[in-house]
Amino acid sequence: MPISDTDLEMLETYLDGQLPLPLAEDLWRRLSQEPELSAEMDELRAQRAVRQAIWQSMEPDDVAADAMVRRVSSSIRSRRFMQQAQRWLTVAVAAAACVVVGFQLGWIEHGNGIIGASPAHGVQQVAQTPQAAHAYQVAIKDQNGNLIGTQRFDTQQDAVNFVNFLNTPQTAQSPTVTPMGRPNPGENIVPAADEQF
Amino acid sequence: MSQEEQWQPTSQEQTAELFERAVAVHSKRLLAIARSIVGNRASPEDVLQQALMNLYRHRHRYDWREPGGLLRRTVVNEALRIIRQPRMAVLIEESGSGATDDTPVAGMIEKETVAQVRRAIDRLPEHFRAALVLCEYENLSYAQIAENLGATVPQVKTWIHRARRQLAELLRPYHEQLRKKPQAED
Repeated sequence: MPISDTDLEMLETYLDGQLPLPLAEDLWRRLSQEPELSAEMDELRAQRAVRQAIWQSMEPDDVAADAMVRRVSSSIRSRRFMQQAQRWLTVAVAAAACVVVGFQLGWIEHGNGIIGASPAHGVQQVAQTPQAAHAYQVAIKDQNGNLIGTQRFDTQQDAVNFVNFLNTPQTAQSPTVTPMGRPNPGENIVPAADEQF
Repeated sequence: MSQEEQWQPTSQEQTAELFERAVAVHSKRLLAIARSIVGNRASPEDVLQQALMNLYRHRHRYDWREPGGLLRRTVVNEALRIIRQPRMAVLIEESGSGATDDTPVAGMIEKETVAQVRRAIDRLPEHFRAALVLCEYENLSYAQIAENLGATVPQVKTWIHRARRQLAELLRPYHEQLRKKPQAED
């Protein structure tokens, strides 16, 4: 009687060590009673032995295994070396960048930097200390109120004095320069901080 | 809490040492597994090296106190990945690579039988072959094989059963030929 596929699967499961005990006990009973089943079990065992021998023959010998381990170890070591080198390189680049930035900051602070050497330097200094030079100006207008000129002063007092001077009868004789808005001396005086220098 | 979560390596150096030790201990079996799955479609050494380097890259994630299963799973997955690549689909003719017939075990079995069975194994679908080698060579349970291959236990049982049936079919002409030989000599 041919072996059924179910029986074959059961035999294989038994040989795999995966058959539950009650089923295994049933199988033992049947093996003692059914020679065909027993012969099939022997056949399966033989086939498995051949395959296991083949699997085992695929194991490398010690020399090949050592070579393999060396190969992997070498790859690991080179990888570790590269990682460390990369880390050190990153640190070195960061340190170099810090040095360059520090040097530039020092250079600028000592007035030798690119900004300090530019023509804008004077402008900057004036802007930082508006009271120091020409912080006030007096607008000089003709009789029609047209602006005919400006005069700059360092202090407000100088500007007021200048306006007073223009308003005196002597200066009024001047045909070309006539100050405007006499009674209030501060009227023609405007801060010059917003003017473009 | 899983075992992986409990594992706290003290340093990267220590993990690297454990990794190298694990490779040294398991390399033979791993190479045999790789060879049995990829056959002659790829270099098992390359498969093993690639698998190990992948694992090394993420070594800090794993528990290296019991690395056998982890290494095996990684090698199986890498071997399957390699032979599933389209360029690996072409079967290269057997050229006597890898397994040697000079081993004592192979010496007990007729060379021709070994060659025939090896060729038949090589013709199995890769997941059948992987399941079979994990079952018969690694002696893993169906549940462990399922875990290794990312499959269910019934799937694994089916694969192994079908692999054996296919092998029997592939080897039937050869076995019949063997049976006829003694009769002819008589």
